Amino acid sequence: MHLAPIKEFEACLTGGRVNIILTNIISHTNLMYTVLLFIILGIFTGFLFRNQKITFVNKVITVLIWLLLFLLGAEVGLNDQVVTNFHVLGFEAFLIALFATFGSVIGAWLLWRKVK
Amino acid sequence: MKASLIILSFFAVGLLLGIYRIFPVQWLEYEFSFYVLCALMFSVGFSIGHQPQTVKQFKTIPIRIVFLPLTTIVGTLAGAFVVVFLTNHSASDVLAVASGMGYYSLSSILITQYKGIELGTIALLANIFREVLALLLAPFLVKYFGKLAPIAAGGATTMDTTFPGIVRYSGKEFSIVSIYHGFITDLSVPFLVTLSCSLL
Repeated sequence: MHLAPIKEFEACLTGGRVNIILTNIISHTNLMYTVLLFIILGIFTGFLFRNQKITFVNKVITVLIWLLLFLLGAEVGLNDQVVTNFHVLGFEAFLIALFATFGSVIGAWLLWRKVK
Repeated sequence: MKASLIILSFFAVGLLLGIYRIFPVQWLEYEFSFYVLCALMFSVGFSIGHQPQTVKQFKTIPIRIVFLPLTTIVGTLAGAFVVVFLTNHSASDVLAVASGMGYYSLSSILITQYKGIELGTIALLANIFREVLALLLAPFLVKYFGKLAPIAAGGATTMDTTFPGIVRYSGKEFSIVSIYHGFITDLSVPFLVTLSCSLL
């Protein structure tokens, strides 16, 4: 993600806007495939060790989430645009949360009428 | 509850260090968070693959209730889609944020990597709001939308933070349903977020 400007610069050298867009799409897709690959690798490894008692994974997850949320906080704090627009982002976030929750509740209500 | 507060305090400390420029900007340039993310994804995958005991309990769930995670996911995405018409965000943006299902830590991290810090911040806040809404509205939802409604509202959090409230308002007989729903929704989050972000 943070290498994107360099890639854009390279794309400028090799020519045209189309190239910039293409490079962005390719680096995006690669990122997603890498992430999915790691999940799938994890699932297989977890399944291989299914008969062993392994409890430390949840602790590892917790610590990695702490670290990443700390880094996310720093990244937000360093970005003046995000900091000054925080209330706008907060309002949009609230809208999405409200409609998403309401949508899921309607789904559950329709199912509830069938099972009741 | 305590776990959420610890997670949020890590975010808050990072935020303050960033705002007052105590955190060195150069640290963000090494894609360090991406490598940590890969480690996190591997561990999340590992915990999904390594749960034969949990899965065995789910056999007692009535056949129709098995579809609850599906109605939650479809309902969440359909509901959130309305927001596309209310804001300037693309469908991909809005659906990615909603795909967090209340799992704010993982979804905000993933969305920041895929779509940048602005949408990542929205994802963090939106999914915290969802968890809070699910906690606060539980008694109201049971009354007007049935005993499955608080479970759906809780999204991916129904096996941890919103679990006690659900058991209290929907009843003890819904505790396995709640864990099952949280389990399935939780593991669908990284896939749904990735899928939504790849929409053009």
